[in-house]
Amino acid sequence: MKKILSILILFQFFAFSSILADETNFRLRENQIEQGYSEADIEAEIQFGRNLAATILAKYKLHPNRELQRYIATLGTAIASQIGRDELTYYFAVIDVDDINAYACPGGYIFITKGAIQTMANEAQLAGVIAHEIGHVDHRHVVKNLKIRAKGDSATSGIAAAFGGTSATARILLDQLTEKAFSLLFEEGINKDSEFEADATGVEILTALGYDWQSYRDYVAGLQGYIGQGQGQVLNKTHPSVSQRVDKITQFSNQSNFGELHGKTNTTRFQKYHRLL
Amino acid sequence: MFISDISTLNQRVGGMVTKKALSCFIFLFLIHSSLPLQAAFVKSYFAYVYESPQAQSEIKLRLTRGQSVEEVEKSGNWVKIKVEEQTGWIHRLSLSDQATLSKISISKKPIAKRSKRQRNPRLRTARAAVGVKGLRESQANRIKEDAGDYEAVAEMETYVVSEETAMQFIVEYQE
Repeated sequence: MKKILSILILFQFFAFSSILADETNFRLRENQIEQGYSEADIEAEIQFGRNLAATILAKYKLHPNRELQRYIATLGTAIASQIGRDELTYYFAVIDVDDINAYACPGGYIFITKGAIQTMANEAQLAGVIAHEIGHVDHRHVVKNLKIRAKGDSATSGIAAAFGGTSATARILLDQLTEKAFSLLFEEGINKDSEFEADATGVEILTALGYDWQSYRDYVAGLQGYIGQGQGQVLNKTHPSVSQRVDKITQFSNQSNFGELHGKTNTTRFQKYHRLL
Repeated sequence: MFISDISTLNQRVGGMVTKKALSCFIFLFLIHSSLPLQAAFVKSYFAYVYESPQAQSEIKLRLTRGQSVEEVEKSGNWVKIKVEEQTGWIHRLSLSDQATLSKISISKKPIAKRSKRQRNPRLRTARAAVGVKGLRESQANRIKEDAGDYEAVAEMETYVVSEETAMQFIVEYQE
């Protein structure tokens, strides 16, 4: 009897401990303020992203049609309000460029080109691209790539002082990081895994919002036709191959049991704004 | 007499041990059973709770950002939750284990232009800084004039709409 009770007590103890451990692991979420990112770091990220956005807009102009801009911003805000980072305000704009691409600056400044929208057929495809870019911001791909922090390990590796105008060295570092970020977005690309991760986020968000995820996959597949041409040059440099992306999207969808799920495409509404390009 | 005393003692001690062990077991069992379910918060502007783990199933509830729920079970991208005395499934992207965070604001003042001395590419500290960051020397040498269209950024920032307006735009239209 005593032996049985001892065993039962030990069992309860280990069961209790394993529950605590499991809860601790289950608490980790990738799109939260992660350990090690302070509020100052996020402020620095937003400032950096705004600075980068200003650099982009010095080179590429905003599309002049305000109704089109509001449509993109409305769609983007809706998607971000569902899966974006709480602490960020997301901004969206169309830039008047024929290249087919979209760009996510840290801090929530997101651009999509006129050329990209021209090649789309419906709102699900547009939502997928926007969700992909929000995924880059949520996962901090550029922030991590460039190690953007308010303060660094040494006096010269943080950028917060640049925004306060208190450090010339930090200001110079900020310029260099901005150049590097511009190069990442427009010339080199981030890395393949980050692009695959953003695609997966995009597809997942589409299904959560009731959009047709297969439309997004078809859009990505259709980009192959532009890769050899001028419009697709930047895309070709900054992203994995189209076939790799489509394979990864299909693989992720199968694993997530999206299967033959069909959702809305809102084609008629999309075409109304598409004409404004 | 000595033997009977020992026997009695053993019986009494054995009895106490058994009672203590049983009490301990019952205590741990009650603790285990009364552990609260994993708490979580709705992080999306709003989130639907479905009958089963798919967006095409019947909607049971609509929750709003910040509401607290209890997680019961996970299945792929879906989480079974308990809220308002009901259970149902919610997409994992709508949940967070932290309470809603406030928006962080920044000063929108354009960054001050640098002086001539600050633009001097021979500043050793600048090279040291870029070296720490692993940037190429050619990039370190290419220190440009301040370039940035902050007016255009301010224009971009006026396009923003409220979340309520944005969600109505998505939810109330379908084709």
